[in-house]
Amino acid sequence: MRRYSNGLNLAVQHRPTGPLAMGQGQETNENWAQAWIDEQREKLKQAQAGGAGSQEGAAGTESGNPDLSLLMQQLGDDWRKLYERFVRAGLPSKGVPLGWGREYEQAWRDLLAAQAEYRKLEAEVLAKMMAVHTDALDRLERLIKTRSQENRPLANMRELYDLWVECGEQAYAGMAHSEGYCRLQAELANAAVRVRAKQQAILEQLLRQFDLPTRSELNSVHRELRALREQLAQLKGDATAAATARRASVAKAARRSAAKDAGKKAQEKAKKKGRRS
Amino acid sequence: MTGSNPQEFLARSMSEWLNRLEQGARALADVGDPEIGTAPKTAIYREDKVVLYRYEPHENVPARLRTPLVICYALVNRPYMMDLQPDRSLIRRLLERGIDVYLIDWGYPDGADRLRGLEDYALRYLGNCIDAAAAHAGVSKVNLLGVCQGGTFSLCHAALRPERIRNLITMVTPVDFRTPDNLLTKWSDGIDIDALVDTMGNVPGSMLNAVFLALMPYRLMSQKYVAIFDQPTDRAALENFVRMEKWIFDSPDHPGELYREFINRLVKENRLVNGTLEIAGERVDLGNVRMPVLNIYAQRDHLVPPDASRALARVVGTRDYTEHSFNGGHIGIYVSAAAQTQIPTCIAKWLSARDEEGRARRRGA
Repeated sequence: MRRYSNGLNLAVQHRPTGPLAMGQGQETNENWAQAWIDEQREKLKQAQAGGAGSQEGAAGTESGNPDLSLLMQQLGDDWRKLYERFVRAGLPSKGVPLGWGREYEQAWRDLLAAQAEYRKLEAEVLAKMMAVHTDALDRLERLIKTRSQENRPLANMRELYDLWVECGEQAYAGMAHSEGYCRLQAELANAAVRVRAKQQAILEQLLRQFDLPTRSELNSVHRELRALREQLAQLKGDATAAATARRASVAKAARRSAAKDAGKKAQEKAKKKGRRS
Repeated sequence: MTGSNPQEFLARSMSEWLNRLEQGARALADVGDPEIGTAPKTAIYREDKVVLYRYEPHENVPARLRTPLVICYALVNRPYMMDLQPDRSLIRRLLERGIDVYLIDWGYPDGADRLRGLEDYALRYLGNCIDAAAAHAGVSKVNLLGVCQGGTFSLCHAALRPERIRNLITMVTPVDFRTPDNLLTKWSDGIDIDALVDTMGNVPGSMLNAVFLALMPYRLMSQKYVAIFDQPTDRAALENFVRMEKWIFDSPDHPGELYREFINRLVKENRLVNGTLEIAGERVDLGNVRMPVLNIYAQRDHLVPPDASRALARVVGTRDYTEHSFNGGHIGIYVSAAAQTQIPTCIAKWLSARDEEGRARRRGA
């Protein structure tokens, strides 16, 4: 049976490049296909035997179930290899990922693409920085020649270093203010943000699998909390305004009442005065 | 390079220099972690991560101004720059001149603050701190000193709630973000800020620091370290250097929404100076800033170019506008020897001349 081992891999490796004509190689195909089926049966048997063996070896396990992980490992070996070939072939392309894991695969593809873009831009920025360093040295060289002609030699290494810094800043400022560099640097920053966003997407997938809180969840909580605080402030403001209005109303009523009382008293006083007179 | 063989000279000079740098590195290792922000102060108000401090008045100096001065610092770095060390402290110098000083500390924003924006910082927190300081001092209005980004917040607040501010001082404050020499603006133009904030949440302080360092990489990432190692015997200089290093890199993360609004609306769209900025549905019209304004800027500021600050003159509504130009940079304006006398004296004189409640109190006395 071993001679047919890795039948699927052989099939993958030696797959025909064009369609077979009716009947052509049919018998051969049946042979190797049957061989592959036999091989899988053999693996199943081995897995069951191995599972039983491991059950015997494992203390305290009495279920009698075969070792499923081993079974899957053995069964999956060929499929895994096929899948890897498929992924390797598909990843660099823009083909659409398919199947149960497509979202996961898409997330990884997005991350890889973002990383590649970031590395490309980073290399461009580094090239610009190298040009600045070169320019700085050219400037320094010219400066030293000028000083030499003016009979103003450098006193020591520190002076040379300070001049180099000065030349470096001049060269850098020239580049840093240029439209091209500003654009490139912004593109690099945006690319870095995209890499981070893709990393976060994958991380969030993983965290959700373990039922762990994610940044998106926390953001939702913060938004709700903020909305609640705003509502509370609004209610407090309304309550304060209502209390103020109530106090004002009570005060007004009290003033009216007092005025009324004062009026009555004045009338009574006037009456008494009238009676006396 | 005179006389001797160039290679020998280079080797000797390099060797001497490296010896000095090595001595500097050893001396720096002995410096430890110097104290920062030592002026005595008390927290008088807290809200979320925001704390308002009141500094203890100077023992031997009678209060000259009744109106307290509230300092609104930026979120980009920590506000202890205002009181870095006893002999480099704008706050101590103001206290010595009889000014009652309050300082807003925004704290270290974290994930819970990522949705906080201009409305929270420039209106709510700042407004509540102004209320708290006024209540604590027993007055109806405060003098407001806004520094850098805090100056921009202060301008917004003064435009929307002018009734609470007696006098306004802005210090190295960006107003026009689109001046031709503004490298930070040029760099931010092509960056997708929405994607950045959506992805990063809060913008890490370390990332902002990397951008600031990239403005002058040769000087800021190399020369300043070589320069400090070059004076290994000056312990005070080494301690100052370590304090500055701590301040520079002790950078809180920037709340995401605030960053989005600040860069998109203020930096990219230049809405403050154009009069099109809205906060909480209210238009920020700098024409409403009619209280006296003192605008202090630094002539060699590589972060907020002088023209970015001086633009205030043409948009502010006040008739009492004063500019003070400091011969130094964005950091030197707080900590240089010249700044220690020039800036607090300028502020104290300007405030004294305008502090109505103070004048009234003195007349009463």
